[in-house]
Amino acid sequence: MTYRRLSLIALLTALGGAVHLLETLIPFPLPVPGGRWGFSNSVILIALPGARLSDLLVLAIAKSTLGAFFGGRLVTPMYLMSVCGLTVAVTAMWAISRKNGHFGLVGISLAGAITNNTVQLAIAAAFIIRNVALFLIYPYFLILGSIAAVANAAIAYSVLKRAGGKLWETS
Amino acid sequence: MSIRLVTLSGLLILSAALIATLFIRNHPAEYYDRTEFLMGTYLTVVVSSENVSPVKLAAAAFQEIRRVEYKYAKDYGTEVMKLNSAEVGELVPVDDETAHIIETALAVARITDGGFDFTLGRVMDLWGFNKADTEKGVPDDDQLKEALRSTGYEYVRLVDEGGWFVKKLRDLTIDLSAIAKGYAVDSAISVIRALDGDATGYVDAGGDIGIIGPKYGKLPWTIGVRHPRSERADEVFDVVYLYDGAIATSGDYENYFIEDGMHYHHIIDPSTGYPAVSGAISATIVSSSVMLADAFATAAVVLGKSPGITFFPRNGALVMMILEDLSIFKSEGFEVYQTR
Amino acid sequence: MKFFRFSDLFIILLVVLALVLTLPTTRAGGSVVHVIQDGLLVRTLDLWVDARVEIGEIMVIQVEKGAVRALVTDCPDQVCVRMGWISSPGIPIICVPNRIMIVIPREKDSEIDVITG
Repeated sequence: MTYRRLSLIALLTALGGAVHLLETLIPFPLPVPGGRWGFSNSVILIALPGARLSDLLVLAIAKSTLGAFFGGRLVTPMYLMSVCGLTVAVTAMWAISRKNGHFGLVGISLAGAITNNTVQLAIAAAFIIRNVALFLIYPYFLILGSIAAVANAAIAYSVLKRAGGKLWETS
Repeated sequence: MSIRLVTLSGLLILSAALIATLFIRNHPAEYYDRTEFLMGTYLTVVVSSENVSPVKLAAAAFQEIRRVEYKYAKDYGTEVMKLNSAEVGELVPVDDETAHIIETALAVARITDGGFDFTLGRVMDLWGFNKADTEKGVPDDDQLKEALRSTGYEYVRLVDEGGWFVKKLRDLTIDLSAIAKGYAVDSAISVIRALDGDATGYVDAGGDIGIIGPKYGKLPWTIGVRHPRSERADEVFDVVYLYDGAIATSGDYENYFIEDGMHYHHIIDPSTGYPAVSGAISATIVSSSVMLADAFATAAVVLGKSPGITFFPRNGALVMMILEDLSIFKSEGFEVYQTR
Repeated sequence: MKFFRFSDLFIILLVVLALVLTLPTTRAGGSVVHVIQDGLLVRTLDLWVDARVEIGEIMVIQVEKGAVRALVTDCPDQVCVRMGWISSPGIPIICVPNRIMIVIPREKDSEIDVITG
């Protein structure tokens, strides 16, 4: 592992953790415990071009853990939901973004948001709240998640433009 | 690559499932609930226990509430009839329970400088607020003044450490039904706790709630404070979390009538005999017992955001008041109950 | 990486499709409302079938879009009518003189356990 990779992951983790923590200050309009917008996932998008899956997963889990730790939610089901949702979402985003392929940042971000929301709600319905009625709020989650996803794509785009397309030195 | 990807995601899912089992503890406790019409309102007991059948606990609670009702109900309560038929100056023997209730009522009346008064019976009769099936209307002012002369908690005394009750005014009518409702809930909770100290749940008497024990033994009960101006009864204005203790709310929206375009509600100001106009339209009290919470809540609507309200906390009653402009006034420290 | 590519439209389409499929149309699960008179369950109504139901010539209750209210009652009290709509188990609509209670039975954990007021 080169120092550049290590420091990049560390930097993005710190940034993501901070946003993860700060975004809890933005009111989330759905009555869900631990409901968040997900703006911190923009760091995943920033890191995406040319990244290895393992690096992305380390970044995603570290970011969630850091944010949850400072937010005082480390040993809660919410943390579990966010880590599980994010790992699956990151894998999905990585998979469709490979080979500098067919999708733009908006599409990738949206795909990540849907996967994340679906997995999180599925976990909540299966293990935590144990009520299928929870899926009634799924569409509202989807709408809010999509708004955040497009915002994330815009953030990632402007950062990447300034960074020359990608942050990693080798793909 | 694809084989690595499959193994990787397999491992991920496996570890996720593993973490899941670590994080999620089952809630074995199921809550049993039963509702009955008692003491002029609906009463719900929500209870769970691992040692005693919750059905049995709820039955014991209702039996206790019924016992209290027959003793202190407004018109037919055996104890209340005895007290109201007493002559001026006559020493009426009362048992410890009645003495305790009257003592508490007198204490709250003194603390709130008469904002809470349990001798308003005749005034309430005139307004028609006493019973659900009587016509309500604005009474004649002279009649009201006349009735008001025979009210006042200061004309009630307990002597000899509460063993005897004396009234000092001939037409004084005491009405213990309001405070007895809270007492009944507290007493029912004691009965449940005596049968099983680890039982959890709550007792809800028309929005006056006493906690038996935390939800599933560890979570607070989430209690919504009703929006005083909503056309929906279940619209929540604010949320309070309680692990134990009691909460009660009084508001001008609970029972009222409109005559000649004027809104007359059931919380009568004991000093004027008319519905209280204090600026407060709803008052929620968190206290150690439902009896105290309920009595202080009524007094808070009468007093409004006056200096008197600042004395509530030092008597164990934290207040959250919703004012006419839907702004909130809270006692210092009330926020403690608004975070999990 | 580009901000937007043509293929992204497919993913947007996917989101819209998921939305259309999951947005609640008429009903939200099997939510019902119980009408209890004198402690006995006299009616069970579907919360998602709009209706006006007469209860023994003393009360008319109205069900609309997942909420229920007492529309007309013969008692002088009118407290139940003034309570307005409910759509959650936190608080029942009560008519004390007629001993009628309109309650949405508790399903599993809802956000608010009970309402004070």
